[in-house]
Amino acid sequence: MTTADAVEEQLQVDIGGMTCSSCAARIEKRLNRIEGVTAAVNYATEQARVTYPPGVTADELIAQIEAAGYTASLPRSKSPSDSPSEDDADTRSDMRSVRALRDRLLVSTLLTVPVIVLAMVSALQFRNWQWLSLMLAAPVVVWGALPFHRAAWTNLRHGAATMDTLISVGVIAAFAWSLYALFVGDAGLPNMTMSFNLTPDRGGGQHDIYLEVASAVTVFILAGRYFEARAKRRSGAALRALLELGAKDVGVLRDGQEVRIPIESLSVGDHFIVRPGEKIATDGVVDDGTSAIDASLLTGESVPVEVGPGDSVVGATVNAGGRLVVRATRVGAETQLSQMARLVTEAQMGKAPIQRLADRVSAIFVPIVIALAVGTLGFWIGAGEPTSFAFTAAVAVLIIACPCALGLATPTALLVGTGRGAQLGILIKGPEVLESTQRVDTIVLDKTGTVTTGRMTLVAVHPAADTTADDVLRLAGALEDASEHPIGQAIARAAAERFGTLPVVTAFENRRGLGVQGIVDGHAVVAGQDRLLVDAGISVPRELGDAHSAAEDLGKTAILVGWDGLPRGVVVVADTVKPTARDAIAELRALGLHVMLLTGDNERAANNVAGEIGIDDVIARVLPEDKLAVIRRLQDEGHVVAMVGDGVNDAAALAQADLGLAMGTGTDVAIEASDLTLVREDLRSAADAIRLSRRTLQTIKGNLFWAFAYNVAALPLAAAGYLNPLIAGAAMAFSSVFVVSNSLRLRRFRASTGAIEAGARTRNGIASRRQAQV
Amino acid sequence: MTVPVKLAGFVVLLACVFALGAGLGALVGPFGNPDPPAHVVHTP
Repeated sequence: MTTADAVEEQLQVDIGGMTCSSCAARIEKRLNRIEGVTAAVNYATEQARVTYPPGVTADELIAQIEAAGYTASLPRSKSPSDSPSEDDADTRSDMRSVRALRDRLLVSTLLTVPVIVLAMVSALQFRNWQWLSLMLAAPVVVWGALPFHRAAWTNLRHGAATMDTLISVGVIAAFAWSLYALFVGDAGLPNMTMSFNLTPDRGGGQHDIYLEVASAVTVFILAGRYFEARAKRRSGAALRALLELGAKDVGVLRDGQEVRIPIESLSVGDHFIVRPGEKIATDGVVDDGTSAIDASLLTGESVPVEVGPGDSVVGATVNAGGRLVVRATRVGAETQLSQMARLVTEAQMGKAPIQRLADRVSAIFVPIVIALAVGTLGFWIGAGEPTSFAFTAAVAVLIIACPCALGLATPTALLVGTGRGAQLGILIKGPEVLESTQRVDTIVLDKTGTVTTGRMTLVAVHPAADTTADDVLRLAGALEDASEHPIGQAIARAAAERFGTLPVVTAFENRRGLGVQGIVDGHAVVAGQDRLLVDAGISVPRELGDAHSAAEDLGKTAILVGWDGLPRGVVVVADTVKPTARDAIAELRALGLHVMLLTGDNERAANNVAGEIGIDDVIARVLPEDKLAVIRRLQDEGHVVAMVGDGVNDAAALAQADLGLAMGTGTDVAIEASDLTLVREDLRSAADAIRLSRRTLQTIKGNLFWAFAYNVAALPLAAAGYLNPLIAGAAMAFSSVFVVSNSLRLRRFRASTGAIEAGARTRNGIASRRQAQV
Repeated sequence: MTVPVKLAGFVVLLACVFALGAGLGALVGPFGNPDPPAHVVHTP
């Protein structure tokens, strides 16, 4: 994926052959050495994100990575329009490498078990048993540990050392010592026996062999690598699932005939058919037909949304109702699905500052450990201990030191956390966002579209003395049915809901800025502002005037209605509060956040809404351009501020906030400006997003602590000769598995939004359907 | 610095560390070993 920029370009490169986070650090260092190049290499996703100046080419970057001893290639665009065979090839090669690792592990395990049993149980040590052990252990050390030797050799040629160097040196050292003892020392004698201890044998001499150490360490580390590889595949599954959501082919209308074409041949402006049960091929606008769309795959919202001509539909959602003809508006990488996938990938590519520290540490760790092992060897030899003991202690140091778990700590947690977020409709933009969610203490909610639905709904009808509310609503609704204004639509929708079919309007006239007028059921009806009624020769009585101004004071919109020369009533419409807003505020409070409401309405209206949802702190009369200033002021007061907004007019404030959350289906501007995008319109997902981000960060910190603590605690033990290399190898593999499974716990993260009350959702569904139909 | 120079430097460093370890071991060891080497003379 190459995106052209004014000065520099960005490139994503697939890297093969990385075996530990040190490899990632090395490639990164090498790329960053080129002038103007900034690279971030992620071990978990096996990808690098490189920003480079115009003077540098992609081929040069790839050559640099290959010169470091790894494979590099430009990834294919992973848009839903990718042909299935390419996706399959990707998955197949992934599976092949995991399977190859599994075969290596299985064969090595089968060969190693008898070696360990023979070494541990003296009673089973028959005449010349040690030579059988050698036969079994040799393939494990040579072929089983080949990936480690190969990586160590590649690194050595470039004057570098990684985790593989440690493992390779440790295994070869144990094996070489055994060969020496067997062929030169006394260990090869037919009646040799040996006993197994948890700590190395101080009295040992040249008759001890460590074949079981060499092969068992290989098996344990292979097992760790295998589980890692499987977890990496599994945690990437969420993203793969997201990309696989898209339809593969589509029926396009060409000269009135339906032609079936692959999805990648679809272009903007094409009209395509979506049958019931089919996935919508790409983002578009409905041209013909009405249906219910199930967007749950994309948003997690389980109630289908009704759509009709003129409504926008999103690719990869499922047509649950009738046949639709849709005009494509966005294809390929431009679709909402692709944008979501890109956001997730970018978040996974980035690195938390804490991870960079871990990378730096592991890059200098290896040479230090090798020096420590040599120092240990020297110390015990100098102290007069048998060479075999000194040697065992040195090998234990090499093996215990591998900080593989350290390198896995951040990427695995980030992969699983962002993957789970994507499933819940929460898109986390990058790892630095996680740190912000931990620090925020204040959350500012934009009123319209965030706390409220952003759609006008009828809230009250005040009839004049000699008129009924039903009459007012029926005639006003019938008149407004011809109007396209959102306020008019809200009245028409409410009337249609109450009375079913509405009378027909004739001589309809839209008086721009004032209201509408027309003939309904033989009555000359006017609906709009008081000036319109005055123009029609109708004077507004005091009680209707009071109802009008009371509603306007509360930030609602009041429409005066009159017919046949007389005032008949006031219809009040307003943007209603989302049914789950109150619960969401309570959840945000429970997270320790101070909740504030930001709105352009007057104080009374703002307080009215705030009271309804349980917010005490309101900032009213804020113009869109002043939102930014409000966030700045709060930050100047020492608060760490999160902002939830619904898009374009909040973009600046979202970017200024320490943590920006964009609501709704995410306009491009909102996504760019925010740190977290909430695909669902439910405000409770804001609380979920913060909880998930905090949990992910906690997991990362926990992982780092355990990986570090483990290495630091075990090294002195190994150097002091209190750790058998066999135990060291097992413990090391265990720490990797621990870190990976700790990260996988994030997959069980539960969102509170699952408990949306069904009635509320149905009401929303009906509202949107009516609006769509008008 | 070229790779061979770097590697040679590292090997020399390792040799020094080994010598340092051995020297240190000879000075403070063997602790915890019940059988002292033959050259250690016990005095009542």
